[in-house]
Amino acid sequence: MKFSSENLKAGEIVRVSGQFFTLRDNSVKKLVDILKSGGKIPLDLSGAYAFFAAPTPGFRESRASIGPTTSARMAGFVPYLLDCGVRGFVGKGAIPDDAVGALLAHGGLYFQALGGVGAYYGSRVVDMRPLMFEELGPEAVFLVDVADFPLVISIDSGGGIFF
Amino acid sequence: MRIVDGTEIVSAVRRLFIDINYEPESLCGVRFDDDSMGDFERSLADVLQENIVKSASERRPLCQDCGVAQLFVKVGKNLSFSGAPSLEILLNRGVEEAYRDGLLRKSTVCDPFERVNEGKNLPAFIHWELCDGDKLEIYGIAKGGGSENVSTQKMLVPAVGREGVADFVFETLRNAGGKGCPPYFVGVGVGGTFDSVAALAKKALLEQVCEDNELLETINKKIKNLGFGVLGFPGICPVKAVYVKKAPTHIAMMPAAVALNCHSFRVGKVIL
Repeated sequence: MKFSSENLKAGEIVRVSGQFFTLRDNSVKKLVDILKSGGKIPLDLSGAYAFFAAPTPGFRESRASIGPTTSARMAGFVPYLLDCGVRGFVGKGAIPDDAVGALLAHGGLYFQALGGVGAYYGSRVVDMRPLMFEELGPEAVFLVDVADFPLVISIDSGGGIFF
Repeated sequence: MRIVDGTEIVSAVRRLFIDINYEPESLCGVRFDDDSMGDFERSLADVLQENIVKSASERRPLCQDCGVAQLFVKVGKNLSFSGAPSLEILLNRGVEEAYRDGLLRKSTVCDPFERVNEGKNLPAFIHWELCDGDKLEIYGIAKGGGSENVSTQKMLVPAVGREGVADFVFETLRNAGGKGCPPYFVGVGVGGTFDSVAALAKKALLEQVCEDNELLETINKKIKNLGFGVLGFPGICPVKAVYVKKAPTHIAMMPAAVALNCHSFRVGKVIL
């Protein structure tokens, strides 16, 4: 993941380029169930960045939209995913204390994407493909490559918090 | 009796839901920036503004959450239709075609526990009203989950009056914070019954009217200092507009509802 600034400080806007994998209500539960039962997934979580999001169709037509959903709904899985090596999370809104605590303990990062600007973010997606759980439709796990994606740093690796 | 061709109804609904997801009239001329904003809030407002431009120019849906499709339909008593045994079938067909052909996200699941997504964004959620005449009036709203989740309904007591209703609006907005993607468009319903007041609040959003200026003034005074701004971040501009509708009610009741809509205000209307 490339950041427009070397010092990520909570409360600042940073522009991000790189790859996310998407997670949602249904898919995060399924993913964690597989991992906990010792199953394999086609994704290396070590150093990965999760994006709580579900895109519209239309990437092939260059007409997709994507944006964050409320992180708090998926936050219960954050501590486990950090243990699995996930480096950072992107979503919308504040997250509960136990997820904050786990992020601080791991030196993990939490970013807030701007809510409801799917067309704006969609135009900054350079590649998008479904990876797992396609039967969930928009809630499938997608790999999303982005360029110049503005995000608000909400928990930095130095323990700074901004909600 | 006037008979409307069913295909005309399907195509009108299809067009309505595609239009409101890309270029709704409800966002025409809306500005989210404000001279009194600080730099941080303004930079967020600028992105909201650019999103509206990108949606129209690149034909990308305004928001990835293209909502559940809700229709408020007024059916003239002297109107009939061809093409299907019920109007409901035609309206649902229009919604299905809009979400398929408009490359819109299908977010409706069929059962609240099983949560299987059949990929059609059906059923449409329809409110019916029978009225005089031979026209079919269809209001559509693409309502995202974020702002629907922070909308509220409460049975107040009559004695609280406008102050009490305004307090309830304030409380709803403060609890919502950034969760429903502000700046909010706020629909307030007062009166009616437990079940009807929520629909009344949503009708206020659809019709963009104010039926009680005194309540509006009281609300506007109270919500000046909500403690957050654009998208819930520190700032000063969390509300874009407030609409009010009221209805007759019981001597013992003061039902109130607050329908919050995100900044991506996607409503529209078609008359056949």
